[in-house]
Amino acid sequence: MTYHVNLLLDDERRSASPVNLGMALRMGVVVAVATLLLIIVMLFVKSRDVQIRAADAQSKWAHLEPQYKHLLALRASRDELRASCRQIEACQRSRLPMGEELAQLQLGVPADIQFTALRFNQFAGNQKAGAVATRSYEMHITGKISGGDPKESVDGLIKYLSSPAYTNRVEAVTVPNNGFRKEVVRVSAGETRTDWFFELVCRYRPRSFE
Amino acid sequence: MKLSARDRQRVRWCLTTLVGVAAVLYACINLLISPLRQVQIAEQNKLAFYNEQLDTARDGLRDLAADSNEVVKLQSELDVATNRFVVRPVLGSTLVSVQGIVEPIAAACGLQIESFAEHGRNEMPLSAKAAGVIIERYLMEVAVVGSYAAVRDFLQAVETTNAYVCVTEVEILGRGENPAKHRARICMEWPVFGVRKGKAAEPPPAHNRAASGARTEEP
Repeated sequence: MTYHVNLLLDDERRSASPVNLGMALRMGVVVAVATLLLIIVMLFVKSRDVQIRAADAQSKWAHLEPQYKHLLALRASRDELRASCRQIEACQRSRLPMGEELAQLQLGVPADIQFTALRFNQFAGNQKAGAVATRSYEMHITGKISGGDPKESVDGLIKYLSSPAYTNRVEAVTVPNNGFRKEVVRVSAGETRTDWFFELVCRYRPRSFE
Repeated sequence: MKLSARDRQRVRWCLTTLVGVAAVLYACINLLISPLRQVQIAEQNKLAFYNEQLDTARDGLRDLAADSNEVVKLQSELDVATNRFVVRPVLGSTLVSVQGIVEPIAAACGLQIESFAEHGRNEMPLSAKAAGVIIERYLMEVAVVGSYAAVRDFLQAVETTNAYVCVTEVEILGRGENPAKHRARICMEWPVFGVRKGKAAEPPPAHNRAASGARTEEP
């Protein structure tokens, strides 16, 4: 029979750990509280700093705001003036200087060609919503050729309308179907004359309003 | 193992301490840290907003002088253009005003005017509409008789007199009875003040109107 003799009282028992649990707990609490206080202080300081900087920025803004409002008003007025100027300029930008066109045309018409009708038509170009509006011109020439080589004369006029003097403005020069024809004209009894007639269509490049 | 009374008391003390610390932490986070953090975030947002405003304003104000100069320049350009070139109605009639411009030029060029006709007004087909001065196109037609050279000179003179008038159509037809004198039909667009929606038509104030050579005036 074995006997177990307990020589230690309960309050004499000690842990094998070198760290006292109570002490560790106290230390933990102290550290936690200190950390918490530190966080609170830091937060407070930082918040105060931000508050001061925000107040400073606000006072600077209060000082600058009237000037900025004046600037915005000035810019609004500038934009409005620009829009108004653009409207007037649109008239000039989109126009084909017709007087100059007539003068220029006169310079290159072969001597044996006589115009019977000259017509400049304008029509609206780009009509799509949101697209920049344009206007286009077309020149219709109807004429008569007296003497010389009729085909050569018309070719000469076409060549002139396609020359560098016109290349910036003119897109295409065409002779419409049946636009070059001859007609026998009765001059007197038993006497006839052959006249050559031609038509030309000269399409100008679209001119933008903006 | 059965704990002694002293151990039980220590464990109880430890648990109570832990619960107390947790409660204090929770209270601190909810009652101090969280509100402080919220205040800080709000102030930071406020600071960022004002800093952005200040940066934008400072950038803009750097160009204030240039903007002011541009406004003065644009205003002066607009004044010159509107006072000199925008046609103002005479006794409510724009055609009378245009006739006043066209007739002397035609006479000087040797053109005989047969008739005038009005074809209404059109808006400017621009993408951005102006809110202030509204300019429209007043369409009119003039029928004349004269030589090709006279028509050419007339058109050149009209286009030189008013830099913003646009000749939209020209039709010159030969006349059998008198080959030297053609019949011509000329359509033109003249800049006029438009009507603001919801407001009566009101031309802008004319600065130095007399000096800039306005042709016609509102009565």
